[in-house]
Amino acid sequence: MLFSYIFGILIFGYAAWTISRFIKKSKQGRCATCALQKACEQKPSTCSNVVQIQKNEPQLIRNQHI
Amino acid sequence: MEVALLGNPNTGKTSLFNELTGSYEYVGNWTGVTVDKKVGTLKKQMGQLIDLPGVYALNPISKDEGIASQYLLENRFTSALNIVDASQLSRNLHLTVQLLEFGKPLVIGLNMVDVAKSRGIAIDVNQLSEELNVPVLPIVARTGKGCHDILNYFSLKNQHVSHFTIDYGEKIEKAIENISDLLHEEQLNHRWLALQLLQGNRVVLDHIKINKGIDIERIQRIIQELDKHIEEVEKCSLVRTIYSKRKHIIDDILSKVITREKKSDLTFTDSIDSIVTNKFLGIPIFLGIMYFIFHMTFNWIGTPVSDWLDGFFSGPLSGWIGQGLQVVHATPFIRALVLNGLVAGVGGVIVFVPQMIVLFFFISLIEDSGYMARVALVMDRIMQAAGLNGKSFIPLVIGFGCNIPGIMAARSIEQPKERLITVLITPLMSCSARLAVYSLFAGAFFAKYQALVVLSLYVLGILLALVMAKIFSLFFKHEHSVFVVELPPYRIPNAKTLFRSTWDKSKGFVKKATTFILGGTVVIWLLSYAGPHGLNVDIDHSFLALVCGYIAPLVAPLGFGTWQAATALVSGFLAKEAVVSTMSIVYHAPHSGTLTGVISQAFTPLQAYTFMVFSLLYIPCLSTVPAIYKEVGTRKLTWFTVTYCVVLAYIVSLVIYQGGRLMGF
Amino acid sequence: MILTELKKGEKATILNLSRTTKLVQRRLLDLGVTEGEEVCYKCALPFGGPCMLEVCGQCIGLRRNEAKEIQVVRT
Repeated sequence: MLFSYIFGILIFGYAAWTISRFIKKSKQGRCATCALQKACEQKPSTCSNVVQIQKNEPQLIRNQHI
Repeated sequence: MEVALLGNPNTGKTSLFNELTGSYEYVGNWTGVTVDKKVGTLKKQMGQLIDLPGVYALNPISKDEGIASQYLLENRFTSALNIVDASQLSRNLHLTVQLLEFGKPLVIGLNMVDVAKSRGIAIDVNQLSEELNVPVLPIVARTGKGCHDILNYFSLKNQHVSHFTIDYGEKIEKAIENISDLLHEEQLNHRWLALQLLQGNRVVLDHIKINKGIDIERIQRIIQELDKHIEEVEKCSLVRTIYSKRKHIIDDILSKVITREKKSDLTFTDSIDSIVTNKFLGIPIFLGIMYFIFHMTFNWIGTPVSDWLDGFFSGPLSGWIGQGLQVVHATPFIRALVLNGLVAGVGGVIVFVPQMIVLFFFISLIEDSGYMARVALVMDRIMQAAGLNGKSFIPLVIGFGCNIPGIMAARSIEQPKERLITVLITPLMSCSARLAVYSLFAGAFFAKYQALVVLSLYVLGILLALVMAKIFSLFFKHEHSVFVVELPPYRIPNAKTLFRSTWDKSKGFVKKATTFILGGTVVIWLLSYAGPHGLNVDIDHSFLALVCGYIAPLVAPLGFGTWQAATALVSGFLAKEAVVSTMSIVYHAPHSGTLTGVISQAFTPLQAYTFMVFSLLYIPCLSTVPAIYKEVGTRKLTWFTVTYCVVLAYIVSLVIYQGGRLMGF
Repeated sequence: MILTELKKGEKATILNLSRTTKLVQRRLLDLGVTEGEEVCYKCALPFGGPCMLEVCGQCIGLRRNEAKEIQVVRT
């Protein structure tokens, strides 16, 4: 009986931990569960850079004079 | 210490990064593999190494290039490591010159010296180092040769700051001086900033604008005046003039450094290209390769091994675990949790590992060989018809592995409109997680034609993506479409790289199955075990059946209006593999044999095919949604992507199911 | 003459690139493709698809309509 309790707590505890971690990582925009996970590893700071560049983009393309 | 890794695209920066940090990052043989900044710790704990996307020059065109330029401006790194492709020295040195002008300590890693040698290009490394006034270390990043020297170099404390200046001519030099005077508040090298401004570098201009003390208008006036003057005198634009000056110096250096033994030799690449980019065979060959991959994955290697695993899990393994639980006197609740929940659910996903390994192996093979860029070339005409360009096809192919890196790979597309549309359609690509769903259904219903059925789903994904791209492009202002792609020489894929890449992707799949798929499985099992009338209820009266029974009628017109199918689809939003693990639980009955057997009773072949199509399209998984948000930048567009996928899936599945029924299937 | 008039495998020197789209010009410049470089017209894909060129010891793919704007002279 004692074994069952411990085992049950372990399993449910692990399950709760994995789900909460997954949701937390998903919110951060990190590819927590992707099969190619490492391919998209990055620091959160990069994300802001990307958005910033995107804002400037139309000009970036228009203003190139060769 | 922070070292930035910079260089032209596809020169082996990430290969070197992996060697120097002992990590494994994604490598491949095409332009734009790395689209993001990656941070690693140098071996021997010397400091951090930053891998950046490849750039031809510091003035960016596409979004991934912008990340590299922005890094230079905003991060105070200690020194830069410039990877130079020895077989393409002339082009690579244009970037080197700009990095030297930047004025930070620089060291050159002269990569692919072996390739250069085979083409009859001999380089005098010492002479090159002397001419540029920086240390040059010859390496072969793919095999790791010479990488140790780089580590040794960084362990020395006294790093060399080079003094390398090009005389751009009186007028330009005067302008550089005038602009530099206005930049006194800036911390970065003034001459470099001035030169980048003269070249029209928007990222630099935006960086300067932040500093309120700088008179932007006066700077712009200086640039305009110079531009006009140069245009009149040289009959050539300012950008071109600066380029020519650099080219002149580079050619001069190269004449002292390079000795050519024979004409460049590309015969190996040429003969392959004459087949794969053949007028008529190009597209059929691509489809043929795909079919071959699926045939290997399903009919020849993957499924036989997977069937054996399945038999082992549902037979001996369940038996042993059951006996083990009996020995420790586990309660019936724990027994059901372990056997009907964990073993059935997680085991149901794990059995597809053999298919994944085979598929990932072939994807890695394509990535490392150089075929990817050819696919872009071959597909360009079709993509053009859909309002995109051939480069958009690369993210789609990467999406076959996982949609998230596919979505990110779109950054290497030059035109903002085409990039956005590519991001929007990439979720329709059939990722490896969906392959688990196909493996289950195709194995149960179309055993003989598995490869063909799966190929049809992949092609359907691509076709619908193209149709949607065409529709989306109607809503955008017309932009001139551009397609220039570098076709790198083919390489015999490196065994080590192949192994690492396959291992890494497969490990990801197993990790996912044993972490949060397991977590989800436990929740689903609990909901199927408990009901309004207490625990251990008949599964048809469980909470799961009750709740999902309300959703079932919605998908009934598509042929699978059972609460079991509805549950699988709902949990599939978390991750597509969860469709399989959920089905394993809800269809699990003691002594009913393997899941395949139960499934083949519950569906007709037409329903099964429709279910596969619906699973392919119906929603991007939970991890993909934030990735889409990060690339498109607005919540509205992210929601739009999710919604259109659902609507599209419903319509297409409805047409297939009802059409199939009319035709008598 | 223009680039696309070359036969498969023929070589020529680039005379003028200025009529191509600005963005293409910039990319070509990045790849080291400028006036005076030697170009080899390798093949073209059907239905007006892109063509394959060899310039500066590398292969590049380029849209046919852009290639039509490049003036060359046979060498």
